[in-house]
Amino acid sequence: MTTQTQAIAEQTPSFPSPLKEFWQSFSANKGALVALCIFGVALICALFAGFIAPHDPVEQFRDHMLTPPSWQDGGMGTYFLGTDELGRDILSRLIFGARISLLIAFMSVMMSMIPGVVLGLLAAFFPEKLGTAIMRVMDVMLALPSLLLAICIVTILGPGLVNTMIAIAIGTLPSYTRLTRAAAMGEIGKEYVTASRVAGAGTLRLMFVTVLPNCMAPLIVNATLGFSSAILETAALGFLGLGVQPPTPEWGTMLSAARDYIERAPWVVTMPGLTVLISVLAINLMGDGLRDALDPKLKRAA
Amino acid sequence: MSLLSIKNLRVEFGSKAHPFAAVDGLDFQIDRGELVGIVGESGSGKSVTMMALMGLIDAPGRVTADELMFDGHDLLKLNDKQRRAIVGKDIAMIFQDALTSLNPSYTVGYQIMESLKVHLGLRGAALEKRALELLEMVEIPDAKNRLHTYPHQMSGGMNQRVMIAMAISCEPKLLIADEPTTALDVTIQAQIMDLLGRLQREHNMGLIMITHDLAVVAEMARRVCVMYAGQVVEEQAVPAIFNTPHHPYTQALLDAIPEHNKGASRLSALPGIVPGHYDRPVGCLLSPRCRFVQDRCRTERPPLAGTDGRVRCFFPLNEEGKPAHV
Repeated sequence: MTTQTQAIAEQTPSFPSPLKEFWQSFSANKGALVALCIFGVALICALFAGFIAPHDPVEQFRDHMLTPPSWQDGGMGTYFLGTDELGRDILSRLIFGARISLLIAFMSVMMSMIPGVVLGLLAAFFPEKLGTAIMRVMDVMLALPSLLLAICIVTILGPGLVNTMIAIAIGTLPSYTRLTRAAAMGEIGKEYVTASRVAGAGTLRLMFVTVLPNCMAPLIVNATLGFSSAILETAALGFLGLGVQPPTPEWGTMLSAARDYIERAPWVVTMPGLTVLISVLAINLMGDGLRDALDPKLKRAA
Repeated sequence: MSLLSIKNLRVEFGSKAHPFAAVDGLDFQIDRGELVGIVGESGSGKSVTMMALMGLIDAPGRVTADELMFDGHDLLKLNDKQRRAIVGKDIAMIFQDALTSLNPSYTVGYQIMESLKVHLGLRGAALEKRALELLEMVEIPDAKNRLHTYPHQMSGGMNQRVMIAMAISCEPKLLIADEPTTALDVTIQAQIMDLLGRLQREHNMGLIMITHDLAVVAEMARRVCVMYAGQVVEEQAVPAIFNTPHHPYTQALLDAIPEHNKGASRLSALPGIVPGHYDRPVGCLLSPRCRFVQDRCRTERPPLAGTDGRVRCFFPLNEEGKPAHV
């Protein structure tokens, strides 16, 4: 027996760590990899805006109002993407805007994911009364278009950075709740949960330690995709004048201010628009890649 | 005093007006260091009994019993917290499908150490040493590296060994094995059964072996309970139950074993299925399927009686495998 055991022991394969395994399947998707790079650039811009941006985002160069981008006639080297109607450098504003947009997106995702997960787990573990109550409230919230709901909330709370986050977070809360509940209900029926109960685990432990880690894959994907829709909604609220207030550089607000000059100075509206487009696209592609890597079943189906 | 004593256990599901008794009037006892087999086909209430014992029947299910004593504790009177301290430490359970009984998100080592931390308060190096010791006890090769693997990276047999290691980690007084080998292939089955038998003897545990494989209990158990539709229909010592089954249902189960059908063109089988909620007979629960059914069986329910083992039948079978009146 011992010699046999040793012979088997030598054959024991070394398994890659879960992180490495994940990276292998994620990096196989080239589109997702490019998207990750773009997102990385946006993240670096946001973190080190002060060092990267060539100018102060709110400084008005009154002598150079509506300067075109440097590659066009009349463009200037120092204002690479041109200046807006008040003579502010567009590139600097976009770089600083990344900070606001990513901050709002990140915070609103967190503010909806954490309560959403908790509510979803509660609904799954106490399906009788509490679960029904939670899900009906979520149904009501889902019945309203999320942008409309966000506008309502901002109107009540007043425009501003924090209120924008809250408005977007409330709008996306139901999707996290439903997703967590569905995933958790699937897991609760499995034997390892019963095994955990037999071992003496309490309800809180079952919820957060036993079941939650097994529901993370769809949640991570939804959070990534929610990140991009939060950027879009921030821009939409900013465009309507309900989001972040001037002079804070924000992509949506920039679009909104520039629409009067759309014929005279098209770059003023094009640049923030393109920025929103590229960043949202990149995050969506990244989310797709994450889904494929985290949920192999969906990949085979696709 | 017996380790576990259950008297008149009843588990009901469904509405109060039309309850369905998944377990009805079950009496059961097991002593320390004893190995008892519970057999019966699917739906006969074997697993539900064990779930009820551990307090895992949630509303709308209802559990009632005259007595539910384990090792001097009255399980009916304990609150949730007290029950959790006993269940898991002194009573442990092994499930049918090891792959789904282990949490896919955590390594094998983490899962073994978890209950050691909670129930025995082990920490640090002692904890790791004990986990390693347990894996070696269940004969897992290369145990040190296996501590860091995930359940999906191991075979079914290995996972079942890990399950067993987890179950015996706190040296339980009672181990319940709910069809521990059903999901495994035959060679691994034998290994797992040997392992369970050895651990049971070494640790002097009470072991309840739930199975529908009579061959499994024939080799290991000292006593066998046969369950049918939520009731114990026969209880006898081994090997007497295999030589002289007194209940027609036990006889039918034994007849269904392929080895007992040598030379026959078809295996003998008991016709029909276990009665469900809406087709419960008035009399003996087996009456619609019984070979030897009499008029009395259709109107009255027989009690569990007898001295040489217990049997729930008005016309127990004799040594020739026939009721006395035939």
